[in-house]
Amino acid sequence: MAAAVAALLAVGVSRAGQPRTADQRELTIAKQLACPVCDGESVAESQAASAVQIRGRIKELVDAGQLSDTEIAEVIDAAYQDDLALEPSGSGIDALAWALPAIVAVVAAAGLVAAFGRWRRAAVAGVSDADRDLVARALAGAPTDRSPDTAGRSPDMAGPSPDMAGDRAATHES
Amino acid sequence: MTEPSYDAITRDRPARRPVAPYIVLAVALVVGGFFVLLAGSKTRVNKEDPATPLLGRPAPEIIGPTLQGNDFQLTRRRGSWVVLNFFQSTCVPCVREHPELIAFDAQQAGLDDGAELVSIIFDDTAAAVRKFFADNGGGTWPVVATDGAAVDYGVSKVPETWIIDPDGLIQTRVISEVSAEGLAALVEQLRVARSQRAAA
Repeated sequence: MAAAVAALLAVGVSRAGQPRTADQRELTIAKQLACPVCDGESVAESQAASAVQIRGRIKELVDAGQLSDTEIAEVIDAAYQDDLALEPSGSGIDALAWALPAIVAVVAAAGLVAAFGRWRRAAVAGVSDADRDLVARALAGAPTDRSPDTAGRSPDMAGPSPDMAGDRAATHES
Repeated sequence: MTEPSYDAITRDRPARRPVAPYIVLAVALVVGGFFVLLAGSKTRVNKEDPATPLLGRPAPEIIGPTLQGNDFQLTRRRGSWVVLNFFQSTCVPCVREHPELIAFDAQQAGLDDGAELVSIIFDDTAAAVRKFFADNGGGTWPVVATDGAAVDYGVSKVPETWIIDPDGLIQTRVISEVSAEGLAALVEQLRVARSQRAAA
C-alpha cells in the first residue's frame, strides 16, 4: 500500500514538473478567472465578448513569456472592479479560505485522538478485580454468585428463561 | 462475593471534561473566519458602478491602428485631456450616444485646450465600424482597433467613457451613455480642479 502511494506520488510529481504548452497555460489561467458579465461561468467557458477578449489578452501575455500564470491572472483581475479570481489567493485575508479547512481538520483529528484515548482509559478503569474474578469463575465452570437461578450448572447448560420456553412451545404448537 | 456497585466502579475513573464548549468554540471560530473572509473580499458589485481600481493611476497604454490607417499610441497624447470612448457598432446605446460625441468633439475643437476624443472599438469588425461611421457621421477623431485595451481597462460592456488628464492619469469613468453637454461639463470640472490643485 505504502509502495503504491509512493509510486503514485512520484508519477504525480514528475508529471507536474513537465513543461506545459502555451495552450495549456492559457486554459489554466482562463479557468481561474470569472467572466465579468456572466454568472457562474469562467472565462474559459464563456462566449461573452468580454470573456473572449480576456482570453485574447491571456494569449498575448502567455506568448510574451514574461509573466507566470499567477501574475497574468493578477494583472487582468487588477483592472476590474469585480473580483474575477475564482480561487482565493494564498496571501492576506484570502488565505483564510485555505487555512481554515486545514485547521478544522487538524483540530478534529486531535479531538478524535483525545476522545478515543479517554474512552480507552475509561474502559480499562471500568474493569474491577471483582469483574475479573467473575469472568475467571465462569470460564472455569465454577458456580458464580451473580446468577443464583443457574447455580450448579455450567454456562453452557444454562437454559432459556421460562418466558422464552413458553414462546418456543407456542411456536411448535402453531 | 458481592458485586461492586456502579458508584464504586465509576469512582476511580478520571473526571470527564466537558467537550461541547470546545466544539462550539471551534465551530464559532470557523464560521467567524469565513465571515471575515467574505466581508473582506471584493464582492460582485452593481455592474453599472463606475468605480474602478484604476482611478488616479496611469492609464494603461493603448497601441493600435486606426480606421484612418494611422498608428495610435495613447502615451503620445500626454499633455492633452483625452476622452476614450469604448463602443460597438451594433450596440443600441452606442448608436444613440453617437450624435452627442460628434457634438462634444466639435465643441472641444473650438477650445484652446480642448479634449481629444478617441474611440476604441469593442469586439467588432473593421467593416462594421466603417459602415457605422459612414451611416452616422463622425469618425474625424482616431478610431482605434485594439483587442487588449478593453481588458486592460476592465471594460465588459459598452458604451463606456474614460477621461484621462494631461499627466496620463485616469480621472473619471462613465458607464453607459453620455451627453455632449454633460461630458463637456465633466471635463471642465476636472480641468478646473486640476488647476486649483496646481495653484495650491
